[in-house]
Amino acid sequence: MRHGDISSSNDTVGVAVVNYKMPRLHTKAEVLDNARNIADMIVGMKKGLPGMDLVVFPEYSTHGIMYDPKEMYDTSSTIPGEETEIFAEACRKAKTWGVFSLTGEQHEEHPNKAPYNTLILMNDKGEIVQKYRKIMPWCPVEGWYPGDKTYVTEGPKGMQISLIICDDGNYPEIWRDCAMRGAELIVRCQGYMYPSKEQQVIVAKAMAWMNNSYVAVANASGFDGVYSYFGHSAIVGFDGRTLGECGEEDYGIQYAELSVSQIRDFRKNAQSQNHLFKLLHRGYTGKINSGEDDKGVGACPYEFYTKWITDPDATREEVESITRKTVGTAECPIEGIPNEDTDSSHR
Amino acid sequence: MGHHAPLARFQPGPHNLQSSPPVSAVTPPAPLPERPATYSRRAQLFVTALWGDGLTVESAADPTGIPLLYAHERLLLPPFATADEARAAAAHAGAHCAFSRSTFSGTDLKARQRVLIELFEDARIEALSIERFPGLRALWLDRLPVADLEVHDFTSLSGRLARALLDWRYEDPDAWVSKGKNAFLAARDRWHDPAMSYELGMRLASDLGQMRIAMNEAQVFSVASYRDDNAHLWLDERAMAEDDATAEAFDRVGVNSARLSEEDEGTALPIADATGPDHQSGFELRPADDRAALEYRAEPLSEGAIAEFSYPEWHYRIQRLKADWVTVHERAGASGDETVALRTLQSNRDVVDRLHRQIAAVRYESHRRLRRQLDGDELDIDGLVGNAIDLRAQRVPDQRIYERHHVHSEQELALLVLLDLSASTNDPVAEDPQRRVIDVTRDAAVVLSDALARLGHHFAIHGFNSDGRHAVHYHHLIDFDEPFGPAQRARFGGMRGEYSTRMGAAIRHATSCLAAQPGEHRLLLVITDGEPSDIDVHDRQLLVEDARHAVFSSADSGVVPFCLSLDPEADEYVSHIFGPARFAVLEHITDLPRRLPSVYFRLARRYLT
Repeated sequence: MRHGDISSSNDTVGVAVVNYKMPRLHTKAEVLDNARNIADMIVGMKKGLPGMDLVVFPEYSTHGIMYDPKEMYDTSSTIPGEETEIFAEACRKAKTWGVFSLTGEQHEEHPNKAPYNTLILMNDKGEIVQKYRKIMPWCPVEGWYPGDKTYVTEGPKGMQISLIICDDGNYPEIWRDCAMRGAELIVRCQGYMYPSKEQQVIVAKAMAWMNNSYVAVANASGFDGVYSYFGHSAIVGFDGRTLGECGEEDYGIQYAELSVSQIRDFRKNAQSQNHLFKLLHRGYTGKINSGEDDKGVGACPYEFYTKWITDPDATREEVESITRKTVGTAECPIEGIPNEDTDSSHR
Repeated sequence: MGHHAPLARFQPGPHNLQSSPPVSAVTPPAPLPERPATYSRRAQLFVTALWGDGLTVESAADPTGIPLLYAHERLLLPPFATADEARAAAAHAGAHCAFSRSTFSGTDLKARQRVLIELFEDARIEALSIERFPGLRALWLDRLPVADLEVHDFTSLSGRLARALLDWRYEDPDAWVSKGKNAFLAARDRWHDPAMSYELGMRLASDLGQMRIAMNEAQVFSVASYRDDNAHLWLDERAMAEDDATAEAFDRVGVNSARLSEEDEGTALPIADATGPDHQSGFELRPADDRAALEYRAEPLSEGAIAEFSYPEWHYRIQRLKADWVTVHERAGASGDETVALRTLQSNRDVVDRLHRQIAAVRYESHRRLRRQLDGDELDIDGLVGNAIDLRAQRVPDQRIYERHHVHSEQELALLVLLDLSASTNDPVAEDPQRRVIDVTRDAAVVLSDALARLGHHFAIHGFNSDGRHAVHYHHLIDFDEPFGPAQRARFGGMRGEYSTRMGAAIRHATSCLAAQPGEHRLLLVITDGEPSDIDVHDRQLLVEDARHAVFSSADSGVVPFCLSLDPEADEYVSHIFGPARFAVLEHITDLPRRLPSVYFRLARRYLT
């Protein structure tokens, strides 16, 4: 993995991340205009970064945040649809793969059910090869219907890629899920705003380190009238060290070349910090010393996970016992979200 | 021809026309306009010339506007504009005396069926008369109003059928009218048989039922002003069954199950006893086994039976209807103690009695004169003057020179009272803490039901509550066409306040119940004690906005929604839901039994007068 050049090679995937200025849009027509702007940007970037194999745009970069629920439902997209058609044209023209945000994607029962917050991975032929729906919508602010699955897809030059979105990244489980299922590059698209800039920079680095994975973060910049977005789009190596990181500037771009062979070599040959291998070969030295076996313990030792899987409701109650019983809180109530003071009796 | 409310029969006075001199049917021209009363004399001479003695023609002392024929002996004529009208009426009544000597049984027949039986009977006796006196055709035909071919309602179609039966050259574009005419002409060899009128009337009424063309049942129906009310044709004048399903069931089997038994033509038979000793009858038309056929009727929901309906719900934040979002479970209200309702009636006797008097008065205020019509019963003098002015001024004249007498009836109005039966109705009433809101609601519903049932108004009392969007409970306490009987009273006794108030879904369902009712006006009266809410909705505004959407959609569909709120705090939301002129907030809940009927009364008057 290397940083500083604009090239790429047969062994390296050239990845660009963009500090896209958070748009403030209201109509489908405005969304399509903005999508064309993204398309133009891709073609332009390829001129400057001839090695670019994959370009990553932030969460909300296509639609902006529709603070009006009616606008949110009115502009929610189908996939494939008009927006993806614009991106497909750009990917073909620039001969690059791309990660694009569609906030939202119409639910199968639209409009009865809320739209999803979706990312797509598109190849350089304009084909959608992964469609990921945000598993952890940023409650209580976001109103998306939650997704329920991560994906690992072969990307440019054979690199295995997973997509995750913003608040998803605050839960170590999703990183582990992607990495353990083979992801070498985990792409985290964000529309992350202040105040948690420092935390999010740390999370990207920590998760790369803990999961022996490349991480590419694209975050929005600018102010949309409600939130201020801190940018800091970055590319992190599988050793947790940042290869390149933007500041807060609008349309800042970082670029790095991620070696396919190096990460595979690491996962094969690294020992003390090979977290993926070691999690399922726990204490192999002690087991050898004890004459039991030479592979260590494979079983999950974490009671919480066992319970969560076997009895999610009871596990939720246990968590409520150390947190709270209701989704809302009476000390900072939010309209429409019940809290412990909400009267839930029949009237 | 006509059908109207039961009339008190009385014995004809003593008359002896046998000493009257023979008169000619030719009447000399009148040199001066005659006073209406003198037309009865001319009519008397005319009818005697045609048919001989036997019918006494008199001027009606208390004119109803319709010729009244009693016992085929005495004809009371209302004031007519011309002598020819009086002559037409007398000739028609004389034809009845000559040919209509049978009596039909009207029990269990619907007004629509009776009207059509009468229409064929009128045609039959006129046709037989014309065979003897061909000039009568023109006399009668001139008095039949020209029906509007653009209108496709009961009145228009019946009027056109009457014309087709009298004027065989008349070709009506409507298949039903043609069918009636062809059937009548095909049955020419049976014109002597009154049963033919019955059979054809039933058949054509059944066709109308299939065509879903409704008749305003209690409305006075008249094809032409010269035709009498036909009350003499019927064995009894009891109020008819109003139930459409009943009537349709009868339609299907009526022709087969009605048997004519000829006992002794021309001789008075004991069956005439029901209507007076002098009633002549040679035929008894007896619906046989009709009860068995009536069992076909669509049964009202039995207790416990559930029908499910899906309705959308309006989501104000996304400004969209969520399709099939709410499930309404409809069933008959649970049975409880019938004596609760009976005690309610007893303790509210003063209100009940006053109501009866008040609402009954609506019947007599139900005529309205519609001016400046393109067609109608009479010429509109103002319209004529305006027309003449236009012509003189060489302007294109306004063609609307008629006036029409529009008769409204209580049957034109369908009322659905929708009661909130949510848990909050168990709260005590502020001014009488011994009683709960639901107790007062029940009192009001029982009092209103009693009054409207006695008056024959078309109404239903339904209740609702909800336990989330998948379980909106909708109860029939008394449904349209149900009597206010023991079963219904027991349901009022079984009323319980429970669950929540998902009002929008209930209003949508009530609207669809109303839409299925005949009549020109549909009124939805919602009685509630609190704002819409449900346990699965946390946004307080959402179900308020949904209820508003349901109310306005209901109004758009032609229903008149109105809310009586028992919540003193309701001003905040009830005007938003129902609109500024469509609600009233009761300061004292205990006033409800008195206020509910008066609100209905006020609204009903708006549409019935």
